[in-house]
Amino acid sequence: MNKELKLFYEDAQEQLTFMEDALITMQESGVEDESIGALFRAMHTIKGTAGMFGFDDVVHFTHIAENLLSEVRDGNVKLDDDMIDTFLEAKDHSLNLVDLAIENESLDEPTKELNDKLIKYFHSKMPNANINKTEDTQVLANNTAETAEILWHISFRLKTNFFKTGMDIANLLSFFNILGKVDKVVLVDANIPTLDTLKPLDGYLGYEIEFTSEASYADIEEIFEFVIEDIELHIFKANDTDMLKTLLEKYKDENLKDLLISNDFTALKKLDADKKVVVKKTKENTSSKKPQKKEKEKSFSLRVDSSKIDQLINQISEMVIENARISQRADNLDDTDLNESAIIMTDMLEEIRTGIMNIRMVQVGDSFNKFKRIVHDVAKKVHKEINFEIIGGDTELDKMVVEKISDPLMHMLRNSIDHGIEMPDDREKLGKSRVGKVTLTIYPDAGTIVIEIRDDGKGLPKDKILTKAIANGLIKDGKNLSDKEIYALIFEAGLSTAEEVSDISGRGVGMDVVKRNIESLRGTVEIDSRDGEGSLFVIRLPLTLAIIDGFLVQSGDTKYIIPLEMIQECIELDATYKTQMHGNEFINLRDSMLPLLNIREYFNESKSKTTRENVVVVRYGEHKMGIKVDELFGEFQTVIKPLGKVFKKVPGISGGTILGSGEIAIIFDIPKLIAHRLKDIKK
Amino acid sequence: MKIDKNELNIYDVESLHQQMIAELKEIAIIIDFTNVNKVDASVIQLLLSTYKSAKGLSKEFKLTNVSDEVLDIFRSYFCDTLLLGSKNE
Repeated sequence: MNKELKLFYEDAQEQLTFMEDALITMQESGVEDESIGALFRAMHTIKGTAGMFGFDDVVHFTHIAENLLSEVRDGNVKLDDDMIDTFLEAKDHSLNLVDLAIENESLDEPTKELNDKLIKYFHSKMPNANINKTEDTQVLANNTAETAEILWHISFRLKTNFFKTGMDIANLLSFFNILGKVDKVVLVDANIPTLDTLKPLDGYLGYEIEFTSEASYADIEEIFEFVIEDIELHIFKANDTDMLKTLLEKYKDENLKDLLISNDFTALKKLDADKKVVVKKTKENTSSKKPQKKEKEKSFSLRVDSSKIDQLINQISEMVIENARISQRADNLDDTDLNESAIIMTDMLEEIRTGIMNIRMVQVGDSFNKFKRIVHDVAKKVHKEINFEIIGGDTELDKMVVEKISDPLMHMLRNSIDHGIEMPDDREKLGKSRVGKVTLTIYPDAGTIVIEIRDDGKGLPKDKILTKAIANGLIKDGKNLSDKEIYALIFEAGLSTAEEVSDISGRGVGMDVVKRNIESLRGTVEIDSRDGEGSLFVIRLPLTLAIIDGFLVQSGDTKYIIPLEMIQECIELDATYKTQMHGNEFINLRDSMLPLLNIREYFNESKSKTTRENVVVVRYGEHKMGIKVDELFGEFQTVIKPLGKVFKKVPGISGGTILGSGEIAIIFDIPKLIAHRLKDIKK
Repeated sequence: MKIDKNELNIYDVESLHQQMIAELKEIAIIIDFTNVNKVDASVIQLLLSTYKSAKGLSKEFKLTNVSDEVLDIFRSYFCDTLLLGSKNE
């Protein structure tokens, strides 16, 4: 794909996302001008750019959709639920058309059918009077459009069953004389087979008509009211070269072009002359129309290659490290001025860092709104009624993380609806509301972003999971597992292929992939479930990826960084605590048991030089733990650097950083450390 | 071949089809329309098909003694030139 095409594709995708968001918004909270504007803009922009590439199918389709939207915008047509649904379909269809156009493939039959269906629908919704006033048709149209009379081109072919309608074609044709002036009619006999293959009861005839009238599209369509299902009908203005081209393409086998030329059809004469002009005009159209547009762009945004931001972050990271050296040097020299400058520099760097990080941050709602559509579709498909809610859509998360988490979330949502929520009738029997509730909640918590998917369905079938896991050899029979551990089994690859246990098979399929995806983002996922009450999936993801606020500590000879946001408090492990411990690795912290992790033992450190010991209390999710270290140094802007392969298998380390002194500090992976300690306790 | 019915429509078209297939074996396909005063679209289709078949076999195809009523019908279907040639227009 070349650069321009790629830009077109991205732009089209973006516009269609806006369109979908706008439709969903209107579905929920009623029709509003701004959203209609977004729909119109999407179709208009795609039409314009597709025209530059000569993607006729895309231009044609979006052109018709745009015409109708223009009427909607002007208040001539009311946007009802049915139309919103159809525009949702049109959005998907447009994307499909764009895909096909870029791949340089022609439309397959189902796509064509859908295309025709949607176009017919859009046409049917057009108001009678204003059809020729749409701005773009005017540009495309020639002078005839200025007068009230329009030269129409009507094309129809009998479908096989036509004669069963009992309708008389001659009658239909005579109606044109009532509505206006018939300029040209030609019978298309190309589809009539020779006698040997003719089925005399089937319809084969076709007609091409040119007709001048003040009548609107709908008026003309009305002529065919009773046979509309039994013919293939095309009605368009004779100067609409896009439509004509589509028609010629469609009836290529009939040699329609030659037939029209030999019968001197007006539309054909314009086709070749207009060919170049149309593309050009569409181009001009997009650029010249923009400034006149009534609605203002909601917000201005800039498309920047994300690698540029990554580069900036890298450079800032290096600056942070260098600045740490300056601070260190200032300390060593005991130079107050230099020290002050270094401190100011630190603050400024932090601001810049936050600023750059913010560029990458997007409100999750923008991206997650598409789930509404998916939920809507899935619910419809499985005949369930779902009330889906997104809470905390304004929470910000790194764009890359948002993109990577979307697929797993989609999968989990589908599962919740498909397998979690019961059928409406069953729910009623259980005394629940017919409408199942699925909630997607996003909120920041202790240096992480938490994403929860909650449903009020039947919950996970614990026994079945357990039986299956034992049968598959994932766990040993008789092993005591907590509920959560059992639920976590659905993430095991071995359970995903469960075929016999149809009830949970869906939940198992791909769940191991879901977990892998989440873990690749350094996140974790937990499940809770209550029989008959529903289930809850909790995903935790780290907030940022490159630079964190860390807390510098030392244990033995090594310095360590603990992510600051996970720290709850620091306490000195004094004699009182030590006597309480009785040699166990637990302390009593304000009447609750706090497990400790002795870092020196964990990493086999040499003995401490100091006699003092400190405990840093960290929290991850609902788990708390104390990390026993020797010395506390305080806050430190930490640039996360990956450690070499050697460290890859060491649990509890997420990376390293360079201190001002040039020393290396190890960054703790708190979730892993907590998991390790909890496992230890169980043993 | 002389058609003996006055009105030809969808109910006749199947038997007419068979007759036309038989007629196609003749050297020339000449159909006498003297008695016919009404045809419908399915019959017109059949006539067009016969015309095509004859042309494919390089045989002559001709409708003779077409009444004014039928000519009007042909015109209303815009098939007069096809079936009768330009001389009848």
